[in-house]
Formats: sequence, C-alpha cells, structure tokens
Amino acid sequence: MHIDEQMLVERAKNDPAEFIHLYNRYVDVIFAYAQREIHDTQTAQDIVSITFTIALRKISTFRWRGTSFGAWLYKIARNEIRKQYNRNKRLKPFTDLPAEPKLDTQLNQHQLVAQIRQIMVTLSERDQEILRLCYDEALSHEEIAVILSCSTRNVAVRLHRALTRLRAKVSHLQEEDLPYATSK
Amino acid sequence: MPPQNDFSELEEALKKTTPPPTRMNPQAKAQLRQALLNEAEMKKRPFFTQIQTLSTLAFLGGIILLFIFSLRIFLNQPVTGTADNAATTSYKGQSITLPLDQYPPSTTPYRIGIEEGVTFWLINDEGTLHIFNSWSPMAGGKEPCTYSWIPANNRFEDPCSGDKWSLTGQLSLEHSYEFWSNRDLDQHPFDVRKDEITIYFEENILGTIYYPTEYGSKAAPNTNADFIVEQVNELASRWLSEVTSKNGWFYSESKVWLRGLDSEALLAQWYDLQDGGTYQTSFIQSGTTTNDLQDQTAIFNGYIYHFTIDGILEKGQLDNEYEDLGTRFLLNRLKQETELSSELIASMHVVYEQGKFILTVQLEHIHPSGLLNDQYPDVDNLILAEVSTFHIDLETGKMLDFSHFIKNESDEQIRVVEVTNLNLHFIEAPPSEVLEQLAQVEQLLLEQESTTVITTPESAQIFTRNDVKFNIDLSIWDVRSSESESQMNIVAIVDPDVWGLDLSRTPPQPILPINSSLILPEGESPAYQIGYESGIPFESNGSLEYTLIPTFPENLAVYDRFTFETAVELHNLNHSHVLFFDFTSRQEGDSWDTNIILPLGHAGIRISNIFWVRDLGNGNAEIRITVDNSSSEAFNIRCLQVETTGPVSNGCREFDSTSSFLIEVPITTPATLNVRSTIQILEPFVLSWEIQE
Repeated sequence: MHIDEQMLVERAKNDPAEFIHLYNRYVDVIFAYAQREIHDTQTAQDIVSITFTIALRKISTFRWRGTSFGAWLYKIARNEIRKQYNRNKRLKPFTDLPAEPKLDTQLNQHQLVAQIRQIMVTLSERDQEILRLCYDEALSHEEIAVILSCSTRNVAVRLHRALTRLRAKVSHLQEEDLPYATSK
Repeated sequence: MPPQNDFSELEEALKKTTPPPTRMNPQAKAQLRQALLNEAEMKKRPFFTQIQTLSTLAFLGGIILLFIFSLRIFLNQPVTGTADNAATTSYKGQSITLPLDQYPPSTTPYRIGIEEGVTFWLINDEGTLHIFNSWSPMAGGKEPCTYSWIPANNRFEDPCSGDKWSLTGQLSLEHSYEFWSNRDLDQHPFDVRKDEITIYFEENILGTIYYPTEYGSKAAPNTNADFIVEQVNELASRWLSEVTSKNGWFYSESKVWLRGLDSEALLAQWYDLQDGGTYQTSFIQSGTTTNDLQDQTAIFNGYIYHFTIDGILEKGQLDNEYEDLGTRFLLNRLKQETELSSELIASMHVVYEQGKFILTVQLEHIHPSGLLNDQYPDVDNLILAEVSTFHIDLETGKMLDFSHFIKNESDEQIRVVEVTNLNLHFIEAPPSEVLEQLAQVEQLLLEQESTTVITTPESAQIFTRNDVKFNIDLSIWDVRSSESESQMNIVAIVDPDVWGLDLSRTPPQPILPINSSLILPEGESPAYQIGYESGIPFESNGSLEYTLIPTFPENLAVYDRFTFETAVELHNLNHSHVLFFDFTSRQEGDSWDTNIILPLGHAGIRISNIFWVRDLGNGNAEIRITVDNSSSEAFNIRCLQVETTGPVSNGCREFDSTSSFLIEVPITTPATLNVRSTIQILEPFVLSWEIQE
C-alpha cells in the first residue's frame, strides 16, 4: 500500500480519466492471470476488458484494506473467470491435460520439476488455485486473502494443506531418492 | 523425514515451472484503453451539464458547512496525543475524515481521539499509512486494555500484557514471549481522497497472527487459563440444535461448529501451561423446545450452565504442528414423529490425554410424550429418553467409539449398544466430502417422501449480531441451498421490556418488517435487491422472535462472499404514553413549557411545549404540541401519532417533516393525550455470510 499507488487511486476517484494510469500498471498482470487461468486468448482479453470497466465504474467504492489495488483487480477478474467457467465448461483450466496424467515413476529431480505441473493437476481445483495465486501470480497472503475473501490465516492454512497434498502425490510417484522428501 | 513445514524445494519447483507471463495484444490493449477513456468521459459528463446548479449549491453548502464546521471545532475539539498538529475532523459516527497534510511522515505515531471509545493511531511511515485500532489484541482484542507509544523505547507497549509492537504494528516476538497477544495490531480500513483520509471504524482488520511454532523455545509458563475458558465458551456457542417440523414430520438436527475456533491460539495457551497434571474442561448445554407451532420452525437455543477447569496440561506435549482444529461434526439428524414437546440435553467434554484432545459428546433426548414406546413395543416401562455418547479425536476428526441406550421411567438402561473402533468418520473439512455425505442423507430422506431441503454445513455459517443499544439480536440461523435456490433463515429477537411490547397479544405485535438488501463484493454489478417473506412472530422465553427466510437467485452461488444487509424496523408498537395537562386558568394563546420524555427503547423524544392555538367552539381546543428528537442515538422517529380521549386523532404524522402537531383536545381538566410512536433504526445490522462452492 505505497503512497504512489494511493495517489493514483485517489486521482482516479477524483478524475476518471486518471484511471488510465492504473490500467497501464496492471493490464498485463491481469491479462497474464486471465490467460493462465482460461487458456483462451480472446476470452482472457474479454476478462481484462470487463475487469477494468467494472473497476472504473466502482473505483469510488474501493477502500484500502492493507493490500494493493491489484488485489482488488484480481478479485474482480477472478469473479469474471468463474462466471466464464459457469457459462462455458470447456474453459476449465488445464483441460488439455488428462485428469490423471500418466507419469514416469522413475524420475530424476530435474524431470520431476518439469512434471510438477502435471502432478498439480491431480489436486482439487481449490488447491490448484491457491498454489497458482501464490506461485504463478507471486501474490502475498494478504492479497490472496482479499481475492478469495478469506482471512490471511485461512490462506496460510489452505496453502499448507495444498502443499502437503502435492508433496504426498510427489512422494507417491517417487518413493526413493525423492528431492522433496528430504530436508535441506 | 523433513520438518512438516519445509516445502522449500517444492516451492522452488513450482516457481521454476510457472508459465511465462503473456502480454496482451497491443492492438486489443489500445482499444480497451480508448474504451476506458470514453467510459471515463461519460462518467464526467453529467457533472458538466449541471455545473451551474452544482456551483450554486456548492457555494451555499460551503457557507453552511463552514459555519457548522467552525462551531464543531469550537465546541468539540478532538483529543490528540502524540500528534503535534490539532486534528480538524468531520465525524459521522462510523467514519472520520482527516486532512492528510496535518499528518506528515513521522517516526512517531499520531494518536487521535474523537470521543470516548473512539480513538485510534495514525502512522505515516515515509508515506505508507497505517490506522491502528487503539485496543490491544491481547486475548483476542476483547480485554479492555489500550496500548501506548513509549518514545524512549520507540515502540508501542501494552501495560496489561507487556506485549510490544513496532511503529508499523508488528508484534515483537522477542519481547512478547508470554504472547498474550498473538498478532500484530489490528487496523481499520481507510480511504484516501482529495488530500484527506477517511477512516472506517465499523470494520476491524485483524493483524497477522503468529503460530505457536513461531514462538519456539521462548514460550514460558503461564498459569492463567482464562483464555481457554473464553475459547471453550466460544466453542460452546457454536453448538446448535435445530428442530424443524414439516408436513407432520419432525426433524431434529444438532451440529457442533468448531470451524473458526482459534485453535492455534488455544493450543499456544495450552502449551504454555505449567508442568504436571492434566487439563480438563467440560461444559453442558441444555434447552427445551416446544413443537406447538404447526409447520413452523422452532429453534432450540441452548446455553451453558456448567463449566469446570480441573487441572493443567503437561508442558511440552504439544510440539507437533496442529494446523487446524476446525473440524466440523454433524452429530445427528433424526426424523421422528411430531410430538408435543421434547428436551435435548447435550454435554461436551474436552480432555487432553496422552497427547490427544478427545471430545466427548453426550446427547440425551428426552421424550416425555412416550413417543419411543412405539419403536420398542416389548418394553413395558414408559421410555423417557435416548442417550448417545461419542468420543471424537479432535486432531483427526474421527469418531473413536459410540454408544447408545434408551432409558425408561425407572432410569434403567435398555438396549445398550456399544461400538468401538469405528471406521466411520465424522465429517471432515473438504467440502466435497461434506456434500457427498449430506447428499446420501438427503436421498435417504427423499426416499421417505420428505421434501425437505437439507442444510449444508459448508454454507450455513452462523452469524449473530447483538446490538446492545437496542437489545436486538439478529442471527443468520441456517442456510439452505439446492440447485434451484438458496434460502437464509434470519431470526430477530427483540427485548420486549425495552420496546414496551405487549406479549399477551397474539401475534404480539402487528409487524416486524426486516428490510433486506444484498450487497455483492466490490467490483460486482448490479446489486441485487432480494425479496423476503413476511416475518413469522412467535413467543419464546419472554422475547419476540421473528424468522425471515429470503430466497436468493440461483446464480448467487457463483460468488464467494457477499454481505447481506438487514435493517429492522419496528412499526406500530403498542407503546403509548399518557399525558395529562390542565386547562384550568388557561386561555387561547397560553402555552405550557414542558419537558416530557417519551421513552423509545433506550432513547426518546421530548415534548417541549404545548400551545393553546384557539378555542374551536365545540367544546374542543386546537392544541399545538412541539416535539424535539432528543435522542442522541442513531434512530429516526418516522412517525408520531397523537390521540385524545375524544378520541380525535390526527393519525400518523411524518415526524421528519415537522416537529409540531396540531390536535383537537376536549376542554376538560385534566385533558388526556395518548401518544404513540413509530420509529426506524437508521443503522442497519450488517450480517455477513460466506458461500463456498
């Protein structure tokens, strides 16, 4: 919540034309997020368009809650993405991958890193989402809490559970010489 | 094995495999940019078209505001602590607006007080703003302790707990080893606009919580177990039982809600107890429900009447990680014939033994009507009760054993069933499992020609708000959802003594409307306005309870969270005030200066003057009554009805439009006036309900 972003938001509240600076700052971030979630460029662009239009219309209602303006945009975008899911089931993330990918059970560490995403797909969508927000979007727990409308503590618990389940699946694939099952 | 918390290599792998960021097509980006600029222009346009009117109004408004503002500053200077600058403020009860230029970046905080109970700290840390709640987070922020800024130590310190925080509100783990407070300072949300900052007090953002493992070896013995009492009380408040009657069938559902229990803090306190002995808590909850309301919902509202602490926990037992005790248990769901009355006594007992928390639950369902005799025709004696006992491992959420027996009039145990080593799980946290189990129960009920919609624990979070000022409780009691609709059952409980309600009337009062509106998360549009069914009043334990079951649109389920805003209006209360005044030695043009308080709830209005306008020549006089709203509390008197003994009534008058009432009064001595009032609470209750798909 740095002062320069506060100033940008403040200006946009007073003069809607100033919103364009916030747009410039976040458009690629939100597009990348939508693209990663949706896997459809045109739909991702639509998501971005709807997100920023809603944000412009509703910016007067935005309040600082200890996180960035971007978290609010993520939240709007996430709602739009979920609406798109409901309208069009084919947009479910990672639909190009099998639900239970066949993995080589004798992987070395490098190969396992490469296949981590396929292992991740076998987790619940809820677990996948928290992992994507944390590691793909590199968002803080506070920002994720805003996006998921839950407490920071709840984010920590959900993330911990998701990582535990992911590690369990990795361990299951490679019982021996498992890079993740050994402490540093 | 690695430490359970060490995910560093896994996290590294995830970061390495993050899909590369893609950039939006420049052409599409430019088009959207232009569209937003057009939208921004549209937003500005209406103001230009009305600029002349606005400027005139702004000028006049400015003059008035300047006057009021000056008067306010003169009369009610805000208190400032370490702030060097006097705060000029506008305070609207739930928010305050301050000029930012008076709070430049500083290495010391600004303490700002508005009135008793409304103080906060403003920190401008090189341009980054923080607004801290002035209450210490000690024991969950419920203790009446405030912390102070100690310039010599350059930190906040709480004299009650000894805890310390940095300028930016971070809890000092090094100095707060007794960890009365387990989190950073709580904050209020704020809004920066036009060189002003607006702070909203109605919301309190909890500071980051620290987990027991983060305290490490700094944990020190602490013999005070009050915190545990509070936590277990909190747990007990989540115990609910609901009895529903539908189509001649009688449903009973009991639930224990442990989700949301601050288990980490609880465990931290347990961990911190002295060596030796065992720690044991127990409480019993009981209540009675009477099913004399056909096709209505009766609610079993339990209470705690017994609570003991017997000992202390062995230190060092809890060095494992307990990530979440928030396990939910759906204890029982019974379908039984309608009976006139029944009683459910539920007792819960938490014991820590050999490194495990064991929850013992005993349910005693008493059926004085002899309902169970039909089910056990071979038992001679009248059967009074069914008793079930469960032992549950709180760490895993598994039921360890289960026993059941029925009890007759002679208190003999019959048909004792004991089951051990059950594989049956109580409902665990993942929603899919919850829904799967519930679907099975629902299917079972449907096969028995029931049309009930099952309550889903995943969405039915109980939320209660008690407004001390008005003595009204509003609760979201349960949330029911199906594929086609969702319903939320709201119960409003009104203290009849406060509001002068007449419980002898049936229904006790004509109406208690609850105006409801649904506010979706920021960024959503448009807002829904939802309808509601009429409240169904019924009397219970000397209070008035009204149920409200609004139905939500099907697509509501797509939202993660929304705020349901509910305003209670009390109409046509049978709350009349009788006034007497004397016409002796009076004539036209005379006035009675009075100070007659008409109580409304905890507040009131005041009749300040009675004026004899004219003699109407028919034995009546026209009287003008001047009424002031002397209430400092936040409700608005919408309507005042004044009647004479004639009766000559003016009917209900909008109080907003005038403070004077002209009425006809028979010229008798003493004349009698009946005054009835209707009010509206301005500040609605806000209930939050979280939906998880």
